[in-house]
Amino acid sequence: MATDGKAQSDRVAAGLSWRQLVELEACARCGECRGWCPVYAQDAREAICARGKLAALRGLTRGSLSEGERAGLIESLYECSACGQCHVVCPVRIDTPELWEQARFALGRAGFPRPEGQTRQMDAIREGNNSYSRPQAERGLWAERAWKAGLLADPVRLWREHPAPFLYFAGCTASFDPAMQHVAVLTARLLQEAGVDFAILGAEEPCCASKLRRMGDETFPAEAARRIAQLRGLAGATIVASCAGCFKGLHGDYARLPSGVLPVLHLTQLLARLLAEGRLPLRHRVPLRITYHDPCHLGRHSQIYDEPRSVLAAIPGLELVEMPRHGAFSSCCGMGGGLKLANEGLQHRMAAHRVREAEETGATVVVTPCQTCCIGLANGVKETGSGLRVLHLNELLARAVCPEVTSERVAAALAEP
Amino acid sequence: MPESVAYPKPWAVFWVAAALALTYAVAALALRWRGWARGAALPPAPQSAPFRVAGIWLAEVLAQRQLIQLSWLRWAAHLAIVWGFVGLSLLSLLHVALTALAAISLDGGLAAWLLQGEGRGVSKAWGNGWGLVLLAGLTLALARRLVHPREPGEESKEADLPLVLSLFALTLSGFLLEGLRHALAAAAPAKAAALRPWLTALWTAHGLGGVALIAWLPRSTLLHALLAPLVIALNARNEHPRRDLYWPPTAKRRATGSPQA
Repeated sequence: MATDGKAQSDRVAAGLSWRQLVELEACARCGECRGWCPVYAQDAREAICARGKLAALRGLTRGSLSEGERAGLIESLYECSACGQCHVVCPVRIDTPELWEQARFALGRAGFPRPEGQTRQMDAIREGNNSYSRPQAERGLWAERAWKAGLLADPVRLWREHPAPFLYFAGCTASFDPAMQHVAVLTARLLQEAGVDFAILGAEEPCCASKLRRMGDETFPAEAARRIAQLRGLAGATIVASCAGCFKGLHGDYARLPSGVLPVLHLTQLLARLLAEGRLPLRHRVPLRITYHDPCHLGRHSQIYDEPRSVLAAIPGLELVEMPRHGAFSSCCGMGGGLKLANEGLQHRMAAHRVREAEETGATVVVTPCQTCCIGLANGVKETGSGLRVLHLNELLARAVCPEVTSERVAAALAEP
Repeated sequence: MPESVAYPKPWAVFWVAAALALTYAVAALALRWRGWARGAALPPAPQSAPFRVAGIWLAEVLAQRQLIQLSWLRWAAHLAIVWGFVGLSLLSLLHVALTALAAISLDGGLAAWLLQGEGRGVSKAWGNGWGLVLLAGLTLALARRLVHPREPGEESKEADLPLVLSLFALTLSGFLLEGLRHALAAAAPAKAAALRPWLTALWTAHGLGGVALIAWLPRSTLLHALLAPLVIALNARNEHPRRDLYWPPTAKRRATGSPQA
């Protein structure tokens, strides 16, 4: 039995890098992470915060963790959104989000169980190439239906017919989730208004597979390599992602793999550039008091803080009020890292906490440039019964550029026949 | 500066204990290293920027800038502890090295000058100065724990209070020793004879306390004193372009309110 434990701890250790094993010991136990952790704010147990997880992983790799402590580690490791807040405030600079993801990989490989919801989603991505278990043929339908409904200025062309300089990568959520398809339609419309020559992959668009990495799936490098090869065949087109999670996958996760550096922009980077060049006509005032929620994958994970704010600053009539926790200290809504799949109620409570922070600014709208955060924050609004509206950044920009295209009209046009 | 005062010092006990403690600490660290070596190799850093990495290391290890952003009090306490330790460790290393070199007549007379001769004042001033800095840091750290006591359940299993208290007691014993030494130098012969056993006892406790600290190091939270500078350097290799991590607007950061302030 002791030998089994030793072999298992060796297998977990072999799944981490030696730097990560040193990081487990380097923790100064100061507890700074705990005060900032959005999960700990909802479930105040030492095992939940980074210090507790580091201690448990240290015990596991030394082979000194009891069965009960192992179960606690698995729970706390998967009920973490890997938002990266603990990394930013850690005086030792332990790269915690990377460590949590790698630890999930190492534990999975060593035969530790995973939450069922995460396993199901990983299977769906590997087998069906999207996280919604929908036929891939439906992926580009939003563009066809939006054009037929008169929501677009021109039809959106497929890359294989029109290899344009920009490729819009809509991602699974904006392609399949009826509540978020307006993000894809509004992105296309805004790019058309600015005269950007772009195309989409339609049914050939793959899932970025970054969720596999978030949840520590062993197949991520191979799955990502296939997608890198596909996207490398796009003759140097710049990929534009409107989803913060896809952007982190395409821009950050792929770059750590061989030949994985691709030309990728987040939509807000391109919009900020188009606004600076005067290519987006802002014809209408949008008199709203809003607050901005930094998505973890866009902010802390990709260091894009300024571009979304410059887009908002350009919209006439808009008043932006920051929450005390913003930028690198933005509090996570709980949608990242597979947390919602492991514990949905916890995600709702985290989002409710963030919604209350947004309400305290006196804003009537919380805006974010990530469709996944939009879904997460909407759960928080339901949980609190708040009157706050959650809008994607595209919706605000569209009100200034093409107010006739609303999310309600998009939803009606794209509804299943 | 008082003359060197004579009182019995159990050097043999000290050196045996020091050798054992060092052997134990090195063996424990070697075992730790074997554990870390089970991990996978590091991928190469995406962009090599040795000067930026060095700048981050100096700012975060030697100046502890990241703590200023969290709390002035924590920064002052930790910086004083770090520098006090570095100063005293350098002095101890110098003493050990000179003593060893003097034993084989390779010190060029420096050992006699620094340990017994005119240079003794410099050595004492260095030791007392950094000792005071360390004591101030530990006092601040303890005061902070009194002013901001942790709530029940807030302590981790590996809380650092026993370590801080041990370091405080060890540092204080050094100053008591120094005070008694001064008293002995000025004391009448009868009083000096009564003081000597106390000095010997205190010297032994202080010396063995220091030795015990060396042995405890690999198994205590003090290990972070060795590993944190390494981790800061290793992660700066990959993350040096991150302004939000290494060069955040301090005022904004403080405005968010560190829960540990």
